[in-house]
Amino acid sequence: MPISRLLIAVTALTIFASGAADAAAPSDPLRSPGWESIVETFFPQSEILFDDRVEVVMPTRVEDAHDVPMAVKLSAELGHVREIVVIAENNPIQQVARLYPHRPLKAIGLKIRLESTTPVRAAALTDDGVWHVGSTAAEVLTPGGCSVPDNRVADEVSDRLGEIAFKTFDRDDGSARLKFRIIHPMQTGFAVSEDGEYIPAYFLEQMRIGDGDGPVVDIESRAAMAPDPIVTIDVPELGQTIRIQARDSQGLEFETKDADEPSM
Amino acid sequence: MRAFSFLGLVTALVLTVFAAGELRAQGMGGGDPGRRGYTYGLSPEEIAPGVYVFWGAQEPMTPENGANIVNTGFIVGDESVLAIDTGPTRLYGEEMLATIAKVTDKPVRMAVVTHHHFDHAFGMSVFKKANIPTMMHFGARPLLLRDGSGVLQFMEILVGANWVSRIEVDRPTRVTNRVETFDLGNRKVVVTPFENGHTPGDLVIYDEKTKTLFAGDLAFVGRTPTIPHADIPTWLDQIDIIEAMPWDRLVPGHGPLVTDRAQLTPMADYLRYLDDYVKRAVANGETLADSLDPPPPERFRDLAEIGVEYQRALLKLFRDVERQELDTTVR
Repeated sequence: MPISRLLIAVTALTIFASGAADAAAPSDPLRSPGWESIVETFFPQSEILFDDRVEVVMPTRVEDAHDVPMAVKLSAELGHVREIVVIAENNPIQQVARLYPHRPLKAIGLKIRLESTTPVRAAALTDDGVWHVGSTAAEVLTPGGCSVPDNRVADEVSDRLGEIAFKTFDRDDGSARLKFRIIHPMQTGFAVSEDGEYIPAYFLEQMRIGDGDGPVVDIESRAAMAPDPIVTIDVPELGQTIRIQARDSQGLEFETKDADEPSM
Repeated sequence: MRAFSFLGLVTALVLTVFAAGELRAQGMGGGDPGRRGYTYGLSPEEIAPGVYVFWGAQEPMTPENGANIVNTGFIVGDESVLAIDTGPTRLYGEEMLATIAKVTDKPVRMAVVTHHHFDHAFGMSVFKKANIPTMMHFGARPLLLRDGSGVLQFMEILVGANWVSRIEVDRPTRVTNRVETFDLGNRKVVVTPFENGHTPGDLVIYDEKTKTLFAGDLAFVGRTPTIPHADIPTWLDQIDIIEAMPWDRLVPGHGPLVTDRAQLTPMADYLRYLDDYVKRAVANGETLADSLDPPPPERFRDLAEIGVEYQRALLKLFRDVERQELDTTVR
């Protein structure tokens, strides 16, 4: 029997084994046994709605668990969104990012780490206090995105640490997209190096995006983001002067060198 | 800084070895022998006088096929034999040599290994042990040595430990970066190097007598090309060069015999599509997740392994192109 089929079988067991759910929360469409504890951790005493208007897009079959692309689409029908949290349920670091938008966010692009086969959730908190949850299930063929060292990340911290690159795009739907990358190893603290020592956790924990008109979005990031995070955000409008600031877990601060949009 | 390396992927695979071990412990398989036990049942086809091919399966690597997804072969002259590629495992290399000996009593003077990918190169230690020189492109050797042990673990996950046992990833006895001619006795065979297309170093082997070209993985026919070490624009140029060579028949690294140059069009079409699609997506600011979402176009869906290989290719290419683009915005 090919391994891929075995893994699918195991996946099915993991994800569908338990249907038990907290009576207070609606039952998880993915029927994940971990959902109840996600509710306790992230949404205690909150109203939860599984909602198609929050969509999680990512590959369902993952071979490179250190660097998994994902996107979150937020329908305008949700109305004002105060907060968005992205969760990889079976990760040792479940929270990937928490975003506080200052302008309506239509879409988010991230690259994340996945430890093993898992539901991935995005939840948007609206003004009425309801968490709108979108989910998808990712089958991870090569577990260890958080706990196996990534050879592509050098042992020594790069002399490009904190380097910020960004570009803006006009989208067909009239919105503006910002894509940025910050060079950072995003070490989880769970990976063991070749000499048997844990590689200490070291990651970006705060990103603040703004333009000439003020703040756009604040992001609380965690090491469940892939190394050298690339983030995209779609908002109705972006001004000419993009400003990106970040702070890491050792307190180092980084920001775009000057305020002008690079001419492309 | 973070140039994509296959090794990174392979490291991630290490843990899966343990997962696979667990599955086996549960009696769910994972190291099953093929129908004939741990033998490939290699049987050469004589496609032209003195030119033999061992055809591989157009399948994924499985415990049933022991990773025999590759075409290898040999050419017999009046005095000696030239082997082309060495197969994916030590078992394959041993079987290949034994089978050649049943066809001819002429000595194998050399094995030319078309590039460093495991399915072509991992039987190499068998030839060396039999005192048969092995030759690769100059650019292939470092990759073989760098990625070899990681790829072994990847293979073990997919085909099981028994097939993979006793493989020794070893350097070839010589390397080349120029055209070389070998006289097998009343039979001239020309080896031509290609750089930085499909991989940093590929070799193709041409038998003048029967106008047969062994093109290695510069040619995929009916199977999705794999691109972990490819530069697509250069590879496309090299496909043009291959098409212009004077062969009557071509043995691709994967897929059936080519007698019509039009059989190479779909792979070139696919590579051109991938390159265009990714460059356009990055230029438009698409996210990688969104770019993976649509399936490949209808015309590529009959290629073997398209589902898995298309996604692998997009992931690699998109990251490369996006990284280059973002690098240009750093001030």
